Amino acid sequence: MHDSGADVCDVAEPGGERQRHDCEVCYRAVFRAVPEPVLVADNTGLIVDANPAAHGLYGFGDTGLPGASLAELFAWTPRTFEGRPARLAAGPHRGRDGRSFLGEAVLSYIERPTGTLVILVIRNVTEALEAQSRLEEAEERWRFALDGAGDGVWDWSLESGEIEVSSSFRGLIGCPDAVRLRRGDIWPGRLHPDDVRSAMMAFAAHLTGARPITETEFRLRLEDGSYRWVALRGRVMERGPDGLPHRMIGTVRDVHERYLGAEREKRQQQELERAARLIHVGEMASSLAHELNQPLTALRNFSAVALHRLDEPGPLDERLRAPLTMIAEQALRAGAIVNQVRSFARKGGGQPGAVALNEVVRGVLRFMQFEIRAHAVQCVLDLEEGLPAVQADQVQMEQVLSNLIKNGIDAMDAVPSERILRIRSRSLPDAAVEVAVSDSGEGLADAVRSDPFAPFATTKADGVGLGLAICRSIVENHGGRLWVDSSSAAGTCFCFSLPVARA
Amino acid sequence: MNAPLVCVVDDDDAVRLSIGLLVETLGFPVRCFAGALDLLADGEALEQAHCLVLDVRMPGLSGVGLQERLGRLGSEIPIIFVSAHGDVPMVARAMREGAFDFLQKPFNEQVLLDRVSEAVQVAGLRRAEAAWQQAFRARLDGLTAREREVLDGMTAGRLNKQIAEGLGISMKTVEQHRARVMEKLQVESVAELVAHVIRAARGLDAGRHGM
Repeated sequence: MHDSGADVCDVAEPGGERQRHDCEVCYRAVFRAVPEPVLVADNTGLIVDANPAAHGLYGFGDTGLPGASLAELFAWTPRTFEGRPARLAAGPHRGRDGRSFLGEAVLSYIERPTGTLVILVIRNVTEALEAQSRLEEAEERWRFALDGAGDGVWDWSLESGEIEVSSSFRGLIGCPDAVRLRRGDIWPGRLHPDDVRSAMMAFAAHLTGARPITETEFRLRLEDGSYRWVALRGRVMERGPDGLPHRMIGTVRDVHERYLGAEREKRQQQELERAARLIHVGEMASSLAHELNQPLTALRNFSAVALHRLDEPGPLDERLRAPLTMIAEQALRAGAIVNQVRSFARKGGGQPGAVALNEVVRGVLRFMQFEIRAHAVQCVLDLEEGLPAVQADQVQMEQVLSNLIKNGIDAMDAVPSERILRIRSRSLPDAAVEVAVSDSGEGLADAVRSDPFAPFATTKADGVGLGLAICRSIVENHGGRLWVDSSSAAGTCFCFSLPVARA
Repeated sequence: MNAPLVCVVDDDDAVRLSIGLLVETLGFPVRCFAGALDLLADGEALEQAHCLVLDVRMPGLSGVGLQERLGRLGSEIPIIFVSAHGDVPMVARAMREGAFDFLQKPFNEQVLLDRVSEAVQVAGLRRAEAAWQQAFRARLDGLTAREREVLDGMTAGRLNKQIAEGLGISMKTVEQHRARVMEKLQVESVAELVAHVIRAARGLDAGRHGM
C-alpha cells in the first residue's frame, strides 16, 4: 500500500488521522507480540519504550523500562550512537535483578524533528557463544590429550586438500613446523611403496561408508629417508549437505618397536611350535660343530699320544691302554652328539610319502613371511601347475627349502636396490621335479665359490657352513641332486631335483 | 733354571687331558687347569710357566680375559689359544694383545707341538734376557759416581784426555777408573762394554713399553 520502507505509515498524508490511528494500533500490537526484545530510546540513552519481551529479558516488571537509561542495561555511553552503527557487538548486559547475559543488538534509527529515536532489537547470545567456545575447548582438549599421549594428530580438509598435523606428528616425521603440508605429501607421498595399496584401500573403505573408521598400519618415510611402522586411525568428522566427506581427523601412532617386537614374538612362537620339525639346519649345525670339535680335538690328540708312545721303550700295553681307552670314549661321545642332532632333526617327521613340493614352498614361505618382510625381500613364485608329487619326507623337504630361502635372503642383505627371491618349480622329462631358488644378491663369494656345499664353507660371521652340506645330504638321500646353477648373470641360483613318486 | 713348565687351561676334560698328554711327549712338565681363575691363583705355576695353552671360551674368566689380566701383571709368558669356534673378532683381539698363536679345534697336533716348542724357546730367551738385564743392572749399581761419569765418557766415545779435562782430573786417574769399570762390569774390551750398555738400554726401553 505504501512504498516507503522507513516508516510504517506516512503521517504527513492529509486526512490520514484515521489511518494514522489504525497504523498506531497495528504497530503497538506487533511491538508487543514479537518475541525479540525491542527497546526504543532517544539519543541521550533514555528508554522511551520497551516491549514485554524486553521487560522479561531485563527483569523490569511489566512497565519499568521506559524512563530508565540504556546505561543501566549495558555499557552505553553518549558516543555509542555516533556514526549510526547498525549493530552492537556481543557484550555483557545486566538485568535489574542482577542477572547478566551476553547480548548483541541490531539498531535502526528514526529521525524526528524532536530528535533521533533508536530502535534496538536485543538478542541474548550467551548460550550460542558458550556452545561454540565449549566446542572449541573440547577440540583443543582432545587434540592436546592425543598429542600428549604420543599420538600425532592430523586434520585433513578434503575440499582444499590441506592437512594440518600436530607438532608430535611433525616430530615423528622430522618435518619443520613452518612447512605447510598437503594430503599428498603424507599419503601416498611418504608411504612405503609396498604399503600404499593397503593404506589407500583402508581410506577408501571408510570414505565410501563401507567401514566406520579408517584403521591401517604402514611404513612412513621420515625426513632422513628411513621408514617407521605407524598405526593410523581416522574418521570423517564433517560431511557436506550432499553427504560427501569434508573433513577427516585422526591420529598416527609410532608402533615401530611394537611391530618389530610383535613380529619377533610371532616368529618365536611359530618357531617354537615347529622348532622340532622346521629348524634352520644351519643354525642347528652351528652348535653341532662346536660340540663335535671337542671330541674330535681330543681324538686327534690321544691318537698322536698313542703313536708317540709306540716308539717308547717298555711294555706296550702299559703305555697305550690309557690313550686308546680315551680314544674309544671320545668316539662314543662324538657319536652321541651326532645321534642327538639326528633325532632332533627328524623329530616330528613321518614316513616318506607323496609330497607336493608346491605346497611345501607355499607353507615354508608362510612360515618365513616375517623374515622375508623384515628384509624387504620380494618373493616371486613361478610354480608349475599340476606338478607331480615326489616321494619324500615332508619335514626334510621343508628343511631344505627353508634353508635355501634363508640363504637367499641373507645373500641379499647387502643389496640396496631390489631384493627379489624367485622360486620356480617345473617337471623334468625324466620323471623328476626340479625346484630352483634364486636371489638377486651379489653371487657366491670367492671363498666358497669352488664348492659351496663343502662342510665348514661359510661367509657368514655366525655360520659354520653346514647348512648346504646337510641340505645336499637330505636331497641325495631321497635319490635327488642339489646344485648351483651358475648360468644366471646376477645372484645365485640353487636347484634341486627329486624323482617323481610312483603312483 | 726351572724346568720349562707348560700350562693347559680348558674346561673340557677330555680336551684338557689330551693336550696335556700330547705336550708331555715333548718332554716338558705339564700342569692342567679346568678354569682360568685356577691358574691365576697358582703363583708357582705362573712363575715357572714357559707357555700357556688356553681355550678361548670358558665359563667364568675366558682365555682372552686371562690374557688381559696376565698382561696387566707384566707377564711375558707366550700364549697359544685354541678354540672350537671360528671366532674372528676374538682371534683378532687376542693376536693384538700379543698372543703367540691361535689354533682352531680340531687342530693338527703336530702344529700345536711345534708352536709349544717355539713358545718355550722364546720364553727361555725372554727369561735369560731378563736375568741378564737384572745382573747387569746390579753391576752398574756397584759403580761409584765417579766411575759412572767415566763410563758415560767412554760410551760417548771420548778419549781419556777429553774425559780428564771434562771432569777436571788427571789422565792417570781416568785410567784407573777405566780399569775399575771394566773389572766391575766384567768386560774385556771397550767394544764389549758399549754392546752391553746398549743391550741394557734396550731392556729398559722394552720395560717401559710394557713388553
